[in-house]
Amino acid sequence: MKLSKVRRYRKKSKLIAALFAHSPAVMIGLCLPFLIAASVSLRAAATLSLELLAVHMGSTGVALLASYYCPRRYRLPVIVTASTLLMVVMRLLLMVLYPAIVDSLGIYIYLMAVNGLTLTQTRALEDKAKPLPVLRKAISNVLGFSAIMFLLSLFREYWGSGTLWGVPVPAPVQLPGVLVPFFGFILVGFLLAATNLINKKLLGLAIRESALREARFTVVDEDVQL
Amino acid sequence: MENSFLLFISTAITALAVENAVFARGLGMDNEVVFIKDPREGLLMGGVFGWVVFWSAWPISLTNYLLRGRSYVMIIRPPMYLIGVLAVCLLTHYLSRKYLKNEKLADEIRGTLPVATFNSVLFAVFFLSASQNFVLTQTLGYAVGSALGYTVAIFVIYYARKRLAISAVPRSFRGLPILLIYLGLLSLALYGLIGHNLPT
Repeated sequence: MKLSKVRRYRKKSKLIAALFAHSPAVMIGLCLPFLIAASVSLRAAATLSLELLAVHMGSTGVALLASYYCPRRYRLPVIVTASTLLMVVMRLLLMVLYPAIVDSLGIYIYLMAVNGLTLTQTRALEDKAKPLPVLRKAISNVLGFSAIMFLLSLFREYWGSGTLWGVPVPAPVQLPGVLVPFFGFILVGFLLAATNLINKKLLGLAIRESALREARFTVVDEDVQL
Repeated sequence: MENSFLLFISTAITALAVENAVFARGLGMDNEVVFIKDPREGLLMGGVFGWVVFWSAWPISLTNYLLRGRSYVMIIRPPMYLIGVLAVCLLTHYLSRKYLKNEKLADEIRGTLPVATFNSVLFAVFFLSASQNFVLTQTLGYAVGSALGYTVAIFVIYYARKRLAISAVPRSFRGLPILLIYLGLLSLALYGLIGHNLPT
């Protein structure tokens, strides 16, 4: 494979890596309850993604402030209080946008206040953390979660309900079992395996690219010597 | 009295098996739970979780009773639950520091406390109790059953990981993917317990 081709492929796959292969929701299984049980429709995916965006970004902001002004042992209660208040506000806003979906999501809307992604990442913040990298990482994590959530929801809504975004779509067969959590476990398991495969492929490409670059520079060095 | 005891037992069994928070709803699948290192750690996690959920159930049940039928219940409920849980967490922290003679165990309890307290299973127990309009006995039964179910789930996950680690599994499926597929099959079995007949 030519170096330019590898570079082009790598550029494209960077986005895939950020959204799927390197997403903590996939890599270490954070936010799994939502992916397993609540990814049943695209509207639910949109609702939960918006809620996570507000809760995660807001809590990360509070955690950043806490990393400067609050002793470490009091940080977690402060962060959970902030995420709970943000969740309440977001729930009120989402009730205006998608009242039926918020009702159908039931407890999962409330549980966003104690989601694994926010709690794990804010707890891991070091003292006086730099805001920009932390916020950049937080937004990429939310985007990664949303991408996986939409992918799972697309599959489950189409095969489970025969609709897409609530609009009936002709499907060869309807399988209501797809909407039950047990299928969520299995589907997420297969998705994780697929991302492992992508990870491996990306790693192989990176190694090949570095080998090609090394070979090219060696040739150039030899030319100079000649 | 007898009726209350029966209510307690029936809700506890429901929460333990049929509505097991981990297998039936996928809750509590956080990093710390999935990757416990030894059975002692799992027992400690389950014990601390059970303690916090049991004592939090009292103030939260009272909150549910006082807020019943109010229009603003959906707004005020989450912060009130958080206050109840935080109070129990801080009290446990204080009691373990003050009265527990075994320093090592006290340290371990304090280390486990944040993970066991700020956990989706714990909050789900109370939100589900409220949505089903449980009385105090039922809320306590649901809390105890969920704590037992959570502990059982921690051990099932621990031993499943141990077995799967030495099994011949395709490389891409090793680790979390195969564990999730295994849990999916277990969840399917529990789903079958509720009773689903195939058309004949």
